[in-house]
Amino acid sequence: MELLKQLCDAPGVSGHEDAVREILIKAVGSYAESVHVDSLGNLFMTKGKGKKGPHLMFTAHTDEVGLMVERIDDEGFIKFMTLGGIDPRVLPAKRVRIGKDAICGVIGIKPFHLSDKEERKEVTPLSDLRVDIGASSRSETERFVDVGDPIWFDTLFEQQGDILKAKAFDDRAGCYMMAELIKHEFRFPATFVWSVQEEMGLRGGRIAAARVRPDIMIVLEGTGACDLPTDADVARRPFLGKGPVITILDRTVVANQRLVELLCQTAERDGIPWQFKRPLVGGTDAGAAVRVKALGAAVVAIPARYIHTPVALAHLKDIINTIELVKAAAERLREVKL
Amino acid sequence: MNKEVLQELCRVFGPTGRESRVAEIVKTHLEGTNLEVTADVLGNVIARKGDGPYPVFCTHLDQPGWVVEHRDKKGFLHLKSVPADEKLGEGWAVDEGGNRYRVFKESDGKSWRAESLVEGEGEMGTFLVPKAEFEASKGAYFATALADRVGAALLLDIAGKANKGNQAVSLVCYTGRHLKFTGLTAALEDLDIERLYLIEALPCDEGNEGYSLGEGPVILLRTQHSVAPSLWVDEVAKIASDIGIKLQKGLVSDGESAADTLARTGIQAITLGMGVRYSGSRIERVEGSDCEALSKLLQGLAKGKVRS
Repeated sequence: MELLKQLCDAPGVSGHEDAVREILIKAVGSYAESVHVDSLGNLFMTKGKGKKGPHLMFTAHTDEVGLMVERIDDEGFIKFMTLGGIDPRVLPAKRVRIGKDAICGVIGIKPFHLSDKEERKEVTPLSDLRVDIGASSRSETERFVDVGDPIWFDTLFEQQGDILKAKAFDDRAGCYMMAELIKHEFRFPATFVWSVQEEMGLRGGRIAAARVRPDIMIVLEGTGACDLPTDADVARRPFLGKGPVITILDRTVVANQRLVELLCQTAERDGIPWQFKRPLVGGTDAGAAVRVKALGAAVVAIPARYIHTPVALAHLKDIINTIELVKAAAERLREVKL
Repeated sequence: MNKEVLQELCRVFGPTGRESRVAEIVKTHLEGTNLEVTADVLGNVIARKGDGPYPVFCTHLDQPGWVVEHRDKKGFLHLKSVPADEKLGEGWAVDEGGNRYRVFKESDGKSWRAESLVEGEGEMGTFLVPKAEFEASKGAYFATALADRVGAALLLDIAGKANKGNQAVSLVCYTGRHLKFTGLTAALEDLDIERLYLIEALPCDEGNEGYSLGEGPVILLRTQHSVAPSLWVDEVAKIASDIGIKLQKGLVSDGESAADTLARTGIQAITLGMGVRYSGSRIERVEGSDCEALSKLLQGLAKGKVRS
């Protein structure tokens, strides 16, 4: 779990994924036959050159949702914008880190006894929120922070038994699982792509697919677990700890039917718990890739509660089971006629 | 245009992501022509004759529908629309196996639900479409998924006529139109394109779109994010005039179109079509005369009479 801890703790909001990439190169670069970083920041590692096809591409994205410094006001407070989908409700009173020196700041909110009843009923709009680093003037803040600096949630990885708590399981969990998969010898030529800027519109994945031009793409993700408290008469799937989550469709793509069947059948055969993704929302790099090239795409994820917030929960067994499922299914690809 | 082929296409199950049966029909009819037919992993069907660059005629295969997301404790199926909107309305739906479902709207007016008539049917991931209906009357066609399948019927018309000539031509039927045009760009990636014509049935419900039902084929001068090049518009207008077809002009400023999607990838296309009434509902209507005129126009364009 040390690598997963490093990956989750590392800063990597969209467009600023360098630290995550460096960790990955150091951790598993030696398992690859070639390592390449493109101008956007996508990290490519290849294995199995010369093996007979199909050419398999695994993808996970290195970026996380976060914030960016928009401007610094006269009092030294930092106005920011979001990078990726963040609900403004989760931001007030959170610790954050800013820029290359990881300056500590707090997203401030008026204390209870200074706010009236009506104020407390409403969500503070993003435009009214500021990061406070404790400076008293613009010039003082500017000594540490610049416009355009990335801001990320100051959350450190913790483990309690099988329960893991961290920021950015979406998609450092996928990054970690790919780092484990690259150690495996597949029967097919494989390219492992740790992509960038997925949270900003699937940007890196599109470029990567155009470069690699694979036959099959398997996206490894951290997706939302929905087993949250509710009175609704709806089974709250996917559940934490109930196995890999397989996508049928989302807002960007219908997963290849044969690959979905392969994943489900492999899980059943090997006794790996699994579940379908629900609700059928969101999008992944698969959606971008199929718009570049006709390829068979599948998405397998771990369920994580509270993704796209400062802290999420994941289950160790889901990670292990997802790695095992993808490994086993990939071995059976020749049985599938896409 | 062959009415039996159109009827066959309108009756077949083919929601977004499950278009293989529609593709099979298209491929079967293309087998009788001298076009070389290929299909890719996304389910796109590409036919070509001769060497490029080709005039490419492109339409889609899929229709709107639903996917089962969940079965609740009372046995009702919770559906995700892909992307069935309000107009598709309540009524019968069928799955790939022909099992029947009663589809309805929840009291909130937003959520789609269904009840399966067959015990145990409708597991998570089951795709549903409205039960197909087809009628021809007074020179018009009334059918389910008509706007989605008339394009393929027109392409098969071109394929039949292309047998006789020796001109290069390519026909493309792509998947995933109703999920942000999923298969469109990949379907075109290996084609050497001279001119790309997108064949669409164009909503004609209000009468103020600038074109009307029964008044002939329509050329879209602009879509939300693209403008048809005047050179191409003039070419199409000239050939329409030469073969005695009245061409209507239309402008669509809202909603993402195939032309918009392609424009973003640097591919220029022009949209041709005919008006469709009750578009997006269970039973749509197109005029046979519009289909015939558009078919002739497409054949004229395929022959490339006016291209320099």
